Amino acid sequence: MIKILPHSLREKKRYVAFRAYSEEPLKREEVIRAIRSETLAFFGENIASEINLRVLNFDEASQKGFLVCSHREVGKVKAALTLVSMVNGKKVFLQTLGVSGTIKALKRKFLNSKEQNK
Amino acid sequence: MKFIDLHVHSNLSLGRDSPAEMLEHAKKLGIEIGLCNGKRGEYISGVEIRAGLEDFKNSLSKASLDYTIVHGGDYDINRLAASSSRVDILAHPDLGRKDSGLDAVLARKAAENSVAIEVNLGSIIKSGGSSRAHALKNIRRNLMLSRKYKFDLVAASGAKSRLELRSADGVSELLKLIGFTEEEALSAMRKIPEKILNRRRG
Repeated sequence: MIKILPHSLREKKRYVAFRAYSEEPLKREEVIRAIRSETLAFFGENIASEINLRVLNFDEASQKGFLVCSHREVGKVKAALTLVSMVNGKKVFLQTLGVSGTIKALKRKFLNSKEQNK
Repeated sequence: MKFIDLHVHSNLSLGRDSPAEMLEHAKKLGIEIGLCNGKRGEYISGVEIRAGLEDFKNSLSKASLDYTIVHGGDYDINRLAASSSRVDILAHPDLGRKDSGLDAVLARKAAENSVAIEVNLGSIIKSGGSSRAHALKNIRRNLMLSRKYKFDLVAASGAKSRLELRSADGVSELLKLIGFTEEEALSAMRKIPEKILNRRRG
C-alpha cells in the first residue's frame, strides 16, 4: 500500500467556506458540478490542477459548504466562486465566507458546526 | 476591502427586484450600491442615460441625481460621454462591439473631463467561453489605456437582480487575475466611486 508523504513534503491546503444564494435551494451535486466546471472552464486543465480544488461538503439545509484547495491559489478559488452565475438553469451567487488552515477552525469561525458535521 | 457598486438596476429601471430587496441583499454581502434611476434622497441613486445622439444633450441636462451613467457601446455616444464633464461614468463602452470602445482620442477626453470608464463585471460573470474571453480582452485593453492616459476606471456589476451582485473579496481577486494591481483594484472598487459621490454632494 502506498505510504503517506512525510509532513514536510505534503502540499499545504486551505479550506474555504462558502454560502449559496439562489432562487431556490440548491442540491449538493449541482453545486459541486458547477464549481468544478467553472474552475475548469475559466482556468483550464493545467491551472485547475495547480488549484487542486475539491468541494468537500455542501449542506442543503443551510446552503453552506466548504472546499479544499492549494494554499497558494485561494485567490483563484474566490474568483472562480464569484464567476459562478448559474447552477442548473438557476441564478446563483456563491459568497466566500472565509478561509482557514483546518476544517475545525473553518467550522468554528464560519459555519454552524452542528449542521456541517459529516 | 470595500466595494461601492454604482451600476445596479432595481425594478424602477431594468431590474427585477425592488430597491428594498437590492439594498437588503447588498447589506448581507457587505457592499454599498447605487441604484439606477431610483428615488432621490432615500438611497444612493444615479441616472442612467440611454439615449440616441439627438436626445443625448437633452437627457444629460435633465440628469439630477447623485451621479450620471451613460449607457455606452456606440462609438459616437462613447465619445460624447467622454467629452462631457457632466457625465460621471461611461458604462460598458464595449457593449455589442468587437473592440473595447475606446481609442486614444476618447481616452484623453475621459481623463480631461474626469469621466470614469466602467469595468463591467456582469459581462464576465454572465458570459462564458469565447464571449467571456472577448470581454476580458476588452477590459485589459482599457486598463492599458487608463495607465497611459490616466483616466479613472470604476468596477461595477451592472446587476439586474440581487443574485447578480458580487461581494468585495471576490471582485478584487477577479480584478487582480485580469491584471489589476492591488492599488488599481482598490481604486476601481472604492476610491473612484467615493470620488464620484463626493463630487455631487460636495
